[in-house]
Amino acid sequence: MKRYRISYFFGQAFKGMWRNRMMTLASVTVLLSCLIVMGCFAMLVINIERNLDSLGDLNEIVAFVDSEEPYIEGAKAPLAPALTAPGKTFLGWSTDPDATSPEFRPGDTYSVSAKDAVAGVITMYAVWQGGITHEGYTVRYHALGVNLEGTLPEDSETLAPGTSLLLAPAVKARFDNREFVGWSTDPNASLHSDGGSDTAAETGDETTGETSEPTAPVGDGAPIYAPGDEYTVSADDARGGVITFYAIWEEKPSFTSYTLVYDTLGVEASGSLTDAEVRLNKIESQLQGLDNIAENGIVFVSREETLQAEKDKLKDYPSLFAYLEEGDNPYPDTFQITYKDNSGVDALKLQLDNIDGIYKTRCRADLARNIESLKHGIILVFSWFMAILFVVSIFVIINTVKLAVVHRSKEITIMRYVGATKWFIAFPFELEGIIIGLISGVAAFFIQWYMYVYVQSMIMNQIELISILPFAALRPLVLVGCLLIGVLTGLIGSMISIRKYLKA
Amino acid sequence: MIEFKDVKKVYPNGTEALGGIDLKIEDGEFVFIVGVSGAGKSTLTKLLTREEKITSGSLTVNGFDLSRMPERKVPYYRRRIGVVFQDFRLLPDMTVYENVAFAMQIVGEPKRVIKRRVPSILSIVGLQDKASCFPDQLAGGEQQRVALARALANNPATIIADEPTGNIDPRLSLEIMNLLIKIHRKNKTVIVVTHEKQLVDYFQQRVVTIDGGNIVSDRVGGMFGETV
Repeated sequence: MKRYRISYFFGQAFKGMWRNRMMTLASVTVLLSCLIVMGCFAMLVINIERNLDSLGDLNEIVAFVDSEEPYIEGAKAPLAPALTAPGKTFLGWSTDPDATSPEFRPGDTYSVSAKDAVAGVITMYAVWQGGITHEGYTVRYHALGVNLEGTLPEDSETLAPGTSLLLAPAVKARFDNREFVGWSTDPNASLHSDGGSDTAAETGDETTGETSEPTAPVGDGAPIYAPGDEYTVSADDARGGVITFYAIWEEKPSFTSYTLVYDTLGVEASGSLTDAEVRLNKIESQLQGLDNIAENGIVFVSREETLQAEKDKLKDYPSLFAYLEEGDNPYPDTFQITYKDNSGVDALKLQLDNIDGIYKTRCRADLARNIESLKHGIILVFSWFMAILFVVSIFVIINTVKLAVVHRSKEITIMRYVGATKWFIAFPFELEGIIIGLISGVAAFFIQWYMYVYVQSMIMNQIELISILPFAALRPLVLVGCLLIGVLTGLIGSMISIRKYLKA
Repeated sequence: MIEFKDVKKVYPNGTEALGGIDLKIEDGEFVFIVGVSGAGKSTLTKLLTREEKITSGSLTVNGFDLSRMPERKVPYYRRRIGVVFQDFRLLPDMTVYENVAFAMQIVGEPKRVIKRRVPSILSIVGLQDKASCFPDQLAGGEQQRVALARALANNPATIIADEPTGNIDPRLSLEIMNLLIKIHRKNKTVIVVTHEKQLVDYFQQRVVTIDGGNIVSDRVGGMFGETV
């Protein structure tokens, strides 16, 4: 009896499906599409979750440093540590090249002051025990921070005091119409405003009792020599063995930020001798002092290394770097910091942000958090999508099954009169819905399998950053999910469509 | 036994179809229920087949209390009564044999029982030769006989015939009525709802006359025309 009934039910169900085969096909297609969309969303979320986990586990924070940012007045600049040179004892640093005792000890902090700067540059001179004896003087030219057309005149040879030489010819500013006035050993020298003329005009205010006669116009304090004037070397004009002739401009360029350079006064010394290096070392030592740092957890990646790495990574797209001129580098120096404890990452970030020279931090945990919120968004959209698609699928199945029901409504009425139970009447139709759901589920499963493997191989080839679960790991979930949702949709749809006809 | 006790039926639209009916039909009786159109005959039939529920009063059929029967028990009640309709209600894509067997299938009769019983039922209604015909190959009277055979399929105690001769050739009506009498002789309660007075007069059975939702006469014999 039982076997007979089962074949009866299946027979009725398949008969119904065959009668409305176009509708059946349509509902299978719609349900199939819904299942595929659902499955894609689910697999996307699962893979995001997986990547999040691996991202969060990296315990890495990247600190971006700018070691070349100019100082402003009053800023604290770390000074270079002690130098070592054979036969010389390093005492400290001074802004005066002829100092015999140091103004600053090595490693001190120097408060940036505009009065120490010449044309925006502050020079720290090494102070050596016993000083440096100069056998002669070099005459050097200095543009005072103005960009020149052509180059500055070269340094002279070492000259003994009393030697005469002709000063370099006039230089010309490159970008603006700044008027060149003359050369002076004092960078602050300027023309009297009442001089009234650019040409050589004696003002009579002679402050230097030198042997040489400055024929150039004389400003406040120091004489201004005209280009080509004769100059007699004087020890009084020299600083650190160099006599610097500054280009005096009618309108002086002004500076509000300053860079720091070191000068060993001609002594061959070892040690960090650029401000950037000093600053990086300072930052690194501050980093070493932090708590939550893993062993060997601080790695410095220079901007050159970053640029090279990026070039290597994107070697198929050389045009991306074509705009860079020689020496240009859009990347900053970075410290890659590995920390021990994930829970202290916010405190660590705060500490990093407070270190001078670190202007930005990027944390994997931050990235993970961003993706996490993205994931929440996706899940929200996914839920809505799923709900809508579910409803759509149910409607399509309701219609398909309803066609079969209407076709057999007379039969259903007769069945009711001769005493058929509700489930006996309804079951073939429910079976029809279930079979539609099953077919859709199985088809959706195989289509997703194919799609997943395809997309996976595509992504694996292109983006190394992302790791994707193999389909085998998702297979049971996708299969069960597709079948379950398919069958459930089919069942619910057919139950709704038959309900009206079941009233006794 | 069928017992109506002060049965009222008011449709949701407010129409009072039955206004308090008291009627008792013993087992094995043959009863005509007559009346003009709109008198309440078909409402009475619908109450007996539990298509409609009574509004008040009580109705008991073969021990089933129809006023308090839950929905899920209705199919089991219907298996105990056989119903014949004016429009036959046969399944057009099934043969005569299948139409009768169908009623047995849905109550879960085993195949061998069906195989044995269907021919014997068909022989009662005289259609054993037409077992493999489809309904549209049969005349109206023959179709109604198939319907009768189906009503008998599950061996019910009561047969309810709602205008069984309404759609068939008057010359064949007698044939159907004779069959119902034949069934009645097999110790079944038969209720025939009709408005064909010649038939009622001819058979001289108990006649219940309904008018305006009330029983206006209940007597044995003909005189259908004289009472209404």
